[in-house]
Amino acid sequence: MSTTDVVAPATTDELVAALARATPMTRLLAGGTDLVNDIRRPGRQTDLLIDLSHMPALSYVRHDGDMLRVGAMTTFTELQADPLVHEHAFCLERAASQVGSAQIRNVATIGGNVANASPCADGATALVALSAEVTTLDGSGHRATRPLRDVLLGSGRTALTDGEAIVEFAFAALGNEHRSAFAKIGWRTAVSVARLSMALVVRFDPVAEVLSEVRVGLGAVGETAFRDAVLEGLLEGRPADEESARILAEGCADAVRRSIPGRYSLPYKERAAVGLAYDAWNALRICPPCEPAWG
Amino acid sequence: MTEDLRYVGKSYPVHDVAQKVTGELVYGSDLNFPGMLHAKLLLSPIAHGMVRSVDSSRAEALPGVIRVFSHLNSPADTYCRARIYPGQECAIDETLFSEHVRFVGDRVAAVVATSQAIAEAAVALIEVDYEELPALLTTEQALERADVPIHADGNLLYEHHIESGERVDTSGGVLVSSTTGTPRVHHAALEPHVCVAQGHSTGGLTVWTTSQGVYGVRTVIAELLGLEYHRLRVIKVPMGGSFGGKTEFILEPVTAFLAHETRRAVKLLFDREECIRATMVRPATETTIRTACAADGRLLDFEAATTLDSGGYAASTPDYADHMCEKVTRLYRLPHYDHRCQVVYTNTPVAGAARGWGAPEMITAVEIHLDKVARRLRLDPVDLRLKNLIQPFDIDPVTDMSLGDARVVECLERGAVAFDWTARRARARGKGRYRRGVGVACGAHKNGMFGHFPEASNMALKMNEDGTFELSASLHEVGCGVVTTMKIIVAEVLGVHPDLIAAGEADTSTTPFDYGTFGSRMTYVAGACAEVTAKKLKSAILAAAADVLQAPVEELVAREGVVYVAGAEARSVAFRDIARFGDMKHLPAIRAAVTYYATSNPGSYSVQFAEVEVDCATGLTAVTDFLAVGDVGRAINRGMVKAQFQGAVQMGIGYALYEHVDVDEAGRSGVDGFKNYHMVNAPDMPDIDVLLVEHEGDHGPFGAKSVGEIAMVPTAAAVVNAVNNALGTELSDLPLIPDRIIAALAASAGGGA
Ligand SMILES: Cc1cc2nc3c(=O)[nH]c(=O)nc-3n(C[C@H](O)[C@H](O)[C@H](O)COP(=O)(O)OP(=O)(O)OC[C@H]3O[C@@H](n4cnc5c(N)ncnc54)[C@H](O)[C@@H]3O)c2cc1C
Repeated sequence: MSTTDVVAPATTDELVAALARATPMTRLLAGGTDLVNDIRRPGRQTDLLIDLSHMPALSYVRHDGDMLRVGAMTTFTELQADPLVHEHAFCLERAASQVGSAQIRNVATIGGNVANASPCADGATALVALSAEVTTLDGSGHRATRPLRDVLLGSGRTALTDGEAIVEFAFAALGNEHRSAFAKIGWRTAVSVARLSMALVVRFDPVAEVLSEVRVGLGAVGETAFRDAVLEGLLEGRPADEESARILAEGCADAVRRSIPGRYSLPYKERAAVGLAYDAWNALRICPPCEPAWG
Repeated sequence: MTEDLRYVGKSYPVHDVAQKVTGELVYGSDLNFPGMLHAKLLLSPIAHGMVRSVDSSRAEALPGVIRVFSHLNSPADTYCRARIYPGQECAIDETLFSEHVRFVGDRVAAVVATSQAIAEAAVALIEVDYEELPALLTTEQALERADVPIHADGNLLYEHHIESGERVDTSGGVLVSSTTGTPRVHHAALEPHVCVAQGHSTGGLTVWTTSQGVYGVRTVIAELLGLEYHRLRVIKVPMGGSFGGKTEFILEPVTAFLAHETRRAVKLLFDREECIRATMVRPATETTIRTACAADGRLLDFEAATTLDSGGYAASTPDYADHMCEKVTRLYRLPHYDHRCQVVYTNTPVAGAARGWGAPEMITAVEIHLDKVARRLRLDPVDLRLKNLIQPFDIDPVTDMSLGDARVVECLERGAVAFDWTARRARARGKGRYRRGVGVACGAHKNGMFGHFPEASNMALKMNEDGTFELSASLHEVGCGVVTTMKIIVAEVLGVHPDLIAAGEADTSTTPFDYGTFGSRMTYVAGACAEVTAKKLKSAILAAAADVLQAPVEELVAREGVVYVAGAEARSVAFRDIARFGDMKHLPAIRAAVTYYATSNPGSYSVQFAEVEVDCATGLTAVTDFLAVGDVGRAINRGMVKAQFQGAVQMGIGYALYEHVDVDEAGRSGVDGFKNYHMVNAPDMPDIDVLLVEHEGDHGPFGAKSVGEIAMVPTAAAVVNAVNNALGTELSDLPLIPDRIIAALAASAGGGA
């Protein structure tokens, strides 16, 4: 029978030393909410498990100039309750609050959410809309920073190499003129992965009264969470009115059609996309709540 | 009478709650014996085919592997997993290991090894070569392809036809037809299936199982392995839920075989994926109903045709079909009733026993149909039902038996008031994204198996030297509180607190014959047996007390564990003093053993009301309010009766809206765990009000009738009817997952969303 070594580094030096031992059969353990299920599957073999849960230094939310920095081991419970996240990354707070159940959120981390690279990862969808970048550390102690969209390659696939750990996410903190929101449709109200999710970030200039810096992250409609440039372009420069909501909703349905042509779930998702878009739009609170005529 | 009851009708926790909470309770998977081996099954990865060869050499070479079994080195005898007594008629079509595999999950081989990990690793090393046959995944395909027999006698496993009454003139009547599909669902007991068996060096065998009926387990294993019954002991162990999924004998025969062959203790424990794929599911059914109604709503004619998907093996599905044909006339007065049921083999997971045994399937179809009739006639659904429901002591024309003190009309009338039905039904459904609706459904079920075969139970009760009691009965606690129920009944008769009574669970070596906990028979049949047994014991106590007190037995009264001479209450003896005062002269005789035969099988009824809110954008349905009314005769353990309804509503909402085990083109189920098998969880559960109608007019203990199964019979239909009310649709293909709701809305909007 194969055996698995477990190391639990407590310092960065110990982490680097552990990462230096990594092989293709090595796994990092954060909250374990994805990993434990995965390594129990038949045929999975793990030679080394690097347990990150003894690394308090990887768990933080910090304001740093214009940036917000989030440690990879920050749990969703922490993100959901963090005043800086509330103020500067509201969509991430909302996404965090809708992950799984309280028990899951207590241990599940943002780093694990991204590294697991599920197309329906809520944290990843929010971070994509926030245009986050990812900082990693490897077994030679080398730190590298690249855009999140370069890390997420597809369902279950990332650009991370063996022995490369995510240590931090960073993104421009949203300011007073920014609004953000997150909406999700699952199979039921709680403890359900997303069938469709959207993170929305806009800048609303109260003087010019137009939308700018529009960023839309979509989850669960493609191989991985992605930003939809077409959709973003539709809203850029528009007023915050009911017509913009309609354009967003139509555009969202279109984006879904483009992402999953011919899929069985398409007739459902293209309609649900409209509901999703209105949920996200109304949560921005930049114009009175509106809804389409539901036939 | 009711006012005099001391213990019956109050609320008590299940008997082992403290052990559950503290973790002391030993479940099947906790069992461990010296030298115990672990088994792992190799399950067929294909839906239909022949095993051409099995090469187990690499598995056998793995250190720690004791033996590998397949059809090559095991009995080819067939058995029926649902047989509960010798000679019982049933479809005998299953072997321990299959050469002809009939569904994804069929048993192909087993490894017995010194650890679970080794057994798992070894299974992966077995090489099986299959010759694939066409996979017939629907009943239509299976009936069409007679050239691809899933079993030797063809794919049409069973047919049943019931007709009662005479056709009446329906000209001028309103004709309505509907087709309802109910899904294949996973029972989803929290505890997975497990069995432990010890092969003894003497050739005997002991089996520990989370079964609902140990005597049936003994029958099937003894016949399969050629063992004499007295050398085979089957013991019921605590279980974490069943809902019918552990009624039939799925792991027991194979575990017993492995233990018998190796003469060792062997544990076979399934994981969730195996439970979903390879134990049993609630059968998928499709029922077409045609009715003719007079303009005032009276049903004139009722014709139904049901197709039931049995999956790869028969299990209990033929009996299920019979029972589906015995539901409608328990509920409605029908001048003419005609029901054809066919059961069809397919290459899908085996279907069999599930809570309600055909009633949820059939009643769902009936109640969705009746709402359609009500729409055609522009009648309120409650009024339509009131015109057709059976009345107390009606004779069921199908079984020719009295329905007993059947109070379904009262359930409906009181429920409609409590739910404020008329006002809620009249309220606007809404035009925006969220639409509201209310729905109602009635349901009927039975009380035991009287009418099908001699329905009986056995119990023995004795008084201990200190005035406490021990009940010996083959009880199977499956989560519905049967042990506590029996204690309460005995306590009420004897006039002592239930805590003074000990009762254990079934063990074929030490507890008397009983069929088990299923068929809604425990309270009504076994409970009546407990009542009679306790009365007999009480007579023995009074006879002893008469001797101790030197008073005629007719003058004695017993209260709170003390026997008094009526009118001279200073002369008394406590139960606990009878042994001492009587110098043990009487105590040995203070025992009673009773065989109780049931003589009736009345209806149990439930009427349920649901309010829903449907999100027209996402197709998600929220059940926002729920009322369950039950005609239960008499609540023995009131809290438990309510909990049965609440749990049943959770299950029924899942049946209506979420749960289904579908298979893909290769016959593989798309769900393999609770990650993708969605049940309703706490955030989506409505408040559930439970209203009990208690009349005590039948033969159960203190008038009690069954509750565990009837509680979920009308739930799904009430929810579906509420959705159809909210949306103005006629959805009848369950479950109403969001995609189906959106598709229906798109269709009704003329193609565009
Ligand atoms: C019941 C349940 C409900 C759930 N509901 C949701 C939900 O609603 N929304 C949602 O998005 N997810 C959900 N999930 C999935 C899961 O909880 C999240 O993806 C979670 O964020 C994973 O984080 P973790 O810390 O548990 O990661 P782990 O399981 O420990 O790790 C996940 C993967 O990431 C790798 N990894 C972990 N940390 C790092 C790191 N720092 N650097 C590089 N690689 C790393 C691991 O090796 C592993 O491959 C649910 C899971 C469960 C069990």
